[in-house]
Amino acid sequence: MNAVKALGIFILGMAVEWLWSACFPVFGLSPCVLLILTIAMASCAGPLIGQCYGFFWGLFLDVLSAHAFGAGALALTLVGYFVGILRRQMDVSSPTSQIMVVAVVSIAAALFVGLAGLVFERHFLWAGWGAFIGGILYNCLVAPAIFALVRKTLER
Amino acid sequence: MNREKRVANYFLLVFSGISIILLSLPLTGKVRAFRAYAAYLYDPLPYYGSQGLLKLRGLPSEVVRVLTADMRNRRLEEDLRQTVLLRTEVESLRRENERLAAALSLSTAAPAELRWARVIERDPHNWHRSLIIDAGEEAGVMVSMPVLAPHAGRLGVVGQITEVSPHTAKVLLLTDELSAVAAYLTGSKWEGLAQGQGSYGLKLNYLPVDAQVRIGDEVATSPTSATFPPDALIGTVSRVFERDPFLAFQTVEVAAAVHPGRLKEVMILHRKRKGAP
Repeated sequence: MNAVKALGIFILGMAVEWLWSACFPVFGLSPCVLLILTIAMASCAGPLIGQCYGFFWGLFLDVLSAHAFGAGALALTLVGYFVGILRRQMDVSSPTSQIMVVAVVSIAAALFVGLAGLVFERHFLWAGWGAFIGGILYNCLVAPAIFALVRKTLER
Repeated sequence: MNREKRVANYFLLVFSGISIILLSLPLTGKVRAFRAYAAYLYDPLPYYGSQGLLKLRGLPSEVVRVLTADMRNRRLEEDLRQTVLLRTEVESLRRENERLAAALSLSTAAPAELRWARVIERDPHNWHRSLIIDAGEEAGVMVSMPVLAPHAGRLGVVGQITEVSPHTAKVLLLTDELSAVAAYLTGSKWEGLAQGQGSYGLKLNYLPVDAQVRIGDEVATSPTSATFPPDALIGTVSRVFERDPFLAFQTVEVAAAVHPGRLKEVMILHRKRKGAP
């Protein structure tokens, strides 16, 4: 993967995340595109690239968020690293398995960010059950499409 | 452990370390500087994204606006071509009129010039009384000049200039109580005096008792008006009052043709003095 392509994916990822959350939210919910992209990148390109993207996309989420600056970066770094490390042990070729992985990682990331808030800001960062469950379902719905796009982009 | 995994572990330590420092020391100068720097790098995306989005959202209406403007432009060009012909005819008739008037020793009206001006201010307490336009003494505007506006292809009466400053002028609207203009019913030719009421309606007084007036009759400025050109539209009769046996004249209510609230631009009629260039 050359530098221009890598930078293009990085900027495009942030643009899609922002555009979706700003223009197409459903009942106030939008998928965490950057989380799914980090999982997809890590599962396709390994832990190094996965966590690099994860860290810098996480910083973007932190800039947009008002709480616990650094929590998003840490969460996505860990997601990129562990998905990349475990990619040999998991099958993410079928949509069903992609949905399963995204569901598990989404829950883990949401709990991790909540706990980071509890540790560093003295309160659990919790948006409510509706946003928690709805966000995970939304992530699962769009995950196969994002995985397919990432695969096609990396194959070229 | 292969090389990629070792590098990945190293990066994990670095990224996690940075993240934990950012999380645990949010108020220190260096973390705040890092945060500001990150915001500086990342903020252009949402900012320019929202700007672009706003432009995209406005695009369909802009396209419609351009198309409508083009259609209107074509129609106006056609109108302009017709107007050139009409102007030539009018000029010819005017010269003929001057020749005939001179032969009969009648005086003729001096030629007039139109100046356009924008309405820049209205008095919120006196909506039907006065307005301010953006042409003043420097544009040749003088007190008592008649102010008109196009209405349904004709000239409609707006009012007259009462105050002039170097760049602006105040127009006393025809609907003001202090306004009055000699008017006539275009159908029956009966003359009267149209007077403002401080509202949208006017009154046409001093009509002969036996004058037959119907609702909808057109009222225009009389040729006897000292200020306004003849046949400028004032309005239409909206109500005919019952005749008062103690009065020697009858009165009708007139709905003004030009609504002051809709005015954006007006025309000031500048009548040249005879013999002036």
